[in-house]
Amino acid sequence: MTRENLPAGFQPVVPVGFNAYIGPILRDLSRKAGEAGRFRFQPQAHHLNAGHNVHGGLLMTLCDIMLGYTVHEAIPGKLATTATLNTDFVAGVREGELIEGRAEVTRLTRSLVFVSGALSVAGKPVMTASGIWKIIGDRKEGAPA
Amino acid sequence: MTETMFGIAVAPWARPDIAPPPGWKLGRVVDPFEAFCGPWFEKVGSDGVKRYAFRVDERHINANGVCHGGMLMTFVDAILGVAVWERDPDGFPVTVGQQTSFLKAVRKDDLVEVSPVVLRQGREMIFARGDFFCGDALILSATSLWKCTALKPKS
Repeated sequence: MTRENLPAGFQPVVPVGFNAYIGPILRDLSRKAGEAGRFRFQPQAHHLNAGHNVHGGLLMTLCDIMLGYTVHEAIPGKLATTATLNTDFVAGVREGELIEGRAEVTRLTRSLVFVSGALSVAGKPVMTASGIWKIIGDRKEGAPA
Repeated sequence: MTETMFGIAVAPWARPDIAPPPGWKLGRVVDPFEAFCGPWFEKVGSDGVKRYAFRVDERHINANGVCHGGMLMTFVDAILGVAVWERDPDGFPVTVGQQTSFLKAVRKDDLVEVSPVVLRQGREMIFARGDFFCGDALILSATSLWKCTALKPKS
C-alpha cells in the first residue's frame, strides 16, 4: 500500500520491529474523542497458514497492536505493557480480505487499563479480544504513541 | 519430491541463515507465516520431553525495544499447534481461542523455550497449555482451545 492510496484519515502505525516486518497496519487518526479506535490491515500470502487462512498469530498480533494503541491514547505520557490478552478465533480470513478493527477502553484505574476490541471482515467478526494492560511508568521523550 | 509434514508441504524458512543454538536442531513448519517469523528450533530433553525454541532478533521487537507480544503469541500458537497436531495427525485442528499471560519482558537475543502440553483430547476439541521460559525465568503462560476439523489442504 502506498501513501497515495491510504484511506482518508488513516496513517500507518509506527513502523518499528515486528510492526514493520508484518506490513502496514493503518490507524484512523481522524476519529473524534470518545469514539472507538479504528484500524485496517490487508493480509498477504506470507501471513497465511497451511489451510490458506490468515495465521492466528497474525490476527492476535493485530489485536495486541490495536488494543495497545487504544490503551496508550487513554494514558497520555505514560507507558503500559500487555499483562494478559484473551483472543477468540471466531471465523477464518482469506488472503487479500480487508480486516477492520475497533477497540475501546472498558475501564482505567491508576495501575491497570481494561480494553477490548474486535476484528471484522465485511462487517462480520473474525476475532474478539480483551486484555489487561499494566501501567509501568512514564513514556520516554519522543517515543511513539 | 516436496518434503511434507502431517501430509502438508513444508514451508521454507524466510531466514535460513539463522542457525540453531548448540544442542538444538532446525524445526520444520507448514504455515507460511511461521516460516516468515521463524526459524523455530527443537530438541528432546534429557527427560525425553520435546522442547521447542526461537531466538528473539531485530525483526521481533516492539517500539519499547522488547519482544513484541504478537510475535510471542505467534510462537505460542505455532508450538501448542505442533503438540495438538501430533494428537490428530490425520485431521486439521484449528485454534478457536488462546489466553496469553505476559509475565516478564523478553529481550533481543533471548532464547524462548517451551515444552507444550496437551491437557485433554476430546472427539471434537483439544485443550493445550504451555509455560514459556528464558533460561530459568517463566516469561509467558498460555492455554488454547482447538477444534478438530477435516480441512487438511492437498499438498
